[in-house]
Amino acid sequence: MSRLIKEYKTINAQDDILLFPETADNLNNWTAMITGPPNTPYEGHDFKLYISIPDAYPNSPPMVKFHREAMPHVNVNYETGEICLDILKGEWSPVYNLLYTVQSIERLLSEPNADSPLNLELGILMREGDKTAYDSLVRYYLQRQK
Amino acid sequence: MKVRVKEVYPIFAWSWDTYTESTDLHNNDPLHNKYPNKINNETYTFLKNYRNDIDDVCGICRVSYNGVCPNCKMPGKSCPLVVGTCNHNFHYHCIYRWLDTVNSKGLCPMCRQEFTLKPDVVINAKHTQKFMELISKNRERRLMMEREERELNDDLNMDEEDEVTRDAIDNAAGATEAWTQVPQDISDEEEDMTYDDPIE
Ligand SMILES: [Zn+2]
Ligand SMILES: [Zn+2]
Ligand SMILES: [Zn+2]
Repeated sequence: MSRLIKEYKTINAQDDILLFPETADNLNNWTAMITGPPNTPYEGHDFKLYISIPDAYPNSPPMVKFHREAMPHVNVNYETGEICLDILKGEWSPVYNLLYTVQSIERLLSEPNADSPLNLELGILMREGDKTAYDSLVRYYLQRQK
Repeated sequence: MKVRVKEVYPIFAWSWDTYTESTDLHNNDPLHNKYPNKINNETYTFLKNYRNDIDDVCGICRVSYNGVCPNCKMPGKSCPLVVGTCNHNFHYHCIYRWLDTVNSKGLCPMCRQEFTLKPDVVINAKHTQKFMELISKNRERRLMMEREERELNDDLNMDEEDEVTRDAIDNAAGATEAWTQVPQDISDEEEDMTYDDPIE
C-alpha cells in the first residue's frame, strides 16, 4: 500500500496529468482522463479510464478499462471497454506505475496494434491496411456518441 | 587542561555498498548505451545525479535501499539488499516476492533479463540458495507454459483450421457491410460535417 501513497503524492504534484483516486482514503480505485492525441481520429475527444488496483499491486498490473461503448479502437472491446495491451498482461513489471500505465494507454491511441484485435470490425480494416476507412469508422463511432 | 569524559553516546551511520555511485557504468545499463564512451564532466555529474535519484531507491517499492520494504520495520540486516548479475539492486523481500509470481517469468523488473544474484558479492551470499530454488521453479514454470501453448496451438490448427478461415471470411463480409453503411448515415444526419479523408 505504501507504494500507492507514494504514487498519489507524486501525481498530485503534476497538474497536467489527470489521474486521481476516487477518494483520498481509498487508493484502490482511480480515474484518469486522457486526451485524444493530435492527428488521430481521437483528437478533440477526452476519454475516461477506470483503474482498479489488485491486492498484489505492484506485483500484479492494475486493471484498466475505458467506459463501455466509448472507445472505438482495434485493441479495445467496444462493448465492455476492456483493453488489450501487453503491459497490462504478461509484460507488466513492478517498476511501472499508474502514471506510466495511463501514458502507455494514451500512446496506444496513436499506435493501434493489428496483432491483438478486440474490435473485429476495426481489426479487419486495419489488417487490410485501409487507414482511411479505419479512421472514418472511428470518427463515425465518436460522432454518434455526442 | 584536563577533560573528563562523563558519558559517551555512540553514533554510527551506514549504507549498503551498491555500485550506483561509481563510474562503473556497465554495459547492461541503458544509460550507458545512451552515452557511450566519452563522458565529460558535465555528463558525468548529470548521470550521477540522475542515477542517485533513480538508483538509490528500490524500483519495486520506491523506498531507499537504506530504508525498509513496505513489510518491514527495521532497516539493515532484517530487510537486506541483493544485487543482480545485471547490477540492478532491490530489497531482498521485494524482488523475492516479484520472482515468486507467475507474472515475473523470473525476469528482472528493470531490464527483463533472467534475474540471478551477482556472484562473489558478500551481501548476496546468504540468499544464493533460496534464489537458485526460485530460478529453477521459474524455469520449470516457463517450460510448462510453453508446452501448454504449443499443444493449444496444435489443437487449434488441427481441429479448427477450416472453421477459422470460414469465420474470418464471414467477419470480413460483415465488417464491409457495416462499413459501407457508415458514410450514408453520417451524411443524412449532418450535411455540413467536414472530413479530412474524402469518402467514396
Ligand atoms: Zn523494495
Ligand atoms: Zn523487507
Ligand atoms: Zn536488471
